[in-house]
Amino acid sequence: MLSDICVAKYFLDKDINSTEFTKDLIKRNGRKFYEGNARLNKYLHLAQNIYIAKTGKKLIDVDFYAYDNGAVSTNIQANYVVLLDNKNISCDKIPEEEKCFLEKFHKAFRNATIDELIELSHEDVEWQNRSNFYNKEHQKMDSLKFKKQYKKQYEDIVKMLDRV
Amino acid sequence: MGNIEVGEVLWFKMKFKNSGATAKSKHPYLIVEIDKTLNIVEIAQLSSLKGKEYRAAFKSNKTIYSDNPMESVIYEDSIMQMDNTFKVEYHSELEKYKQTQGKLSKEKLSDAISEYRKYHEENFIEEDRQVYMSQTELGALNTKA
Repeated sequence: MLSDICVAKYFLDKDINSTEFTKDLIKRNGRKFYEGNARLNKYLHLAQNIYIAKTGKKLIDVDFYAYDNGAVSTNIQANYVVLLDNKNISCDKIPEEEKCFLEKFHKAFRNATIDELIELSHEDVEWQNRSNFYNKEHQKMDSLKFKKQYKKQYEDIVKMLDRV
Repeated sequence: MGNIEVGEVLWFKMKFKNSGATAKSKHPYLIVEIDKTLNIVEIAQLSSLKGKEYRAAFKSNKTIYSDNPMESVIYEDSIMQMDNTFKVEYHSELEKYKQTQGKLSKEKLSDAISEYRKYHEENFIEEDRQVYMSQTELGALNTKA
């Protein structure tokens, strides 16, 4: 399994022109946040779910939390600006199979708007189950709980990724 | 209703929502039902996935591949949007909106219609997204420059 930092770094390194992951502040569902931070977290969440649908296994060793604007890795969320400004974070080499998956995922999702990504994150039944709690411990999501459902739900996008 | 059939694709501009938004360009619509009693044709909007492959991940979209078998009615892998209802008045001139020949292949059509019906049974389609256009409205929208 990959670390959340390494997957985040993989996506951030793709953004050569600094146009995909920005520090633009936006407001959705009563919360103000960096658009790029939300985008990065949605990439992690959706990549995790789609990989589970494809293989039955987690891609990233991380617990997501059901925040108002979709699932979030709190480690990535808290360190977004650090990750953005520090290009020298060292990560283990990503194995070829996972790297290929991330490459295709990024190609398929890079043109999605932030609202579309949030909507996709909200379509995760585990997010729906965990999103109305106040305490963080209750917002913690179990990525594997609905893996059977993910297989059906993400069937089309799994096939599409093979065609990207 | 002889000159159009379920599985064929019509290309025109439609209202996206009753609240006003209309298409600026023609879009393809798959005929999913022809209702002789109500004299309407129910259609579902198709959109190309090229450059927007992520759209295949939405629950409200059904992916239709352009190959295996090769389709004559769509040029590229596409999604059929299911989170709305589009109906147009049946009239003989609908035939002129056919831009492609033939119908979607049998198995894909059956699968698409089945998914479309299932989605509509399980999800509420808000009234703003239940669009109907009469022959007059459709004609007026599609004759503008």
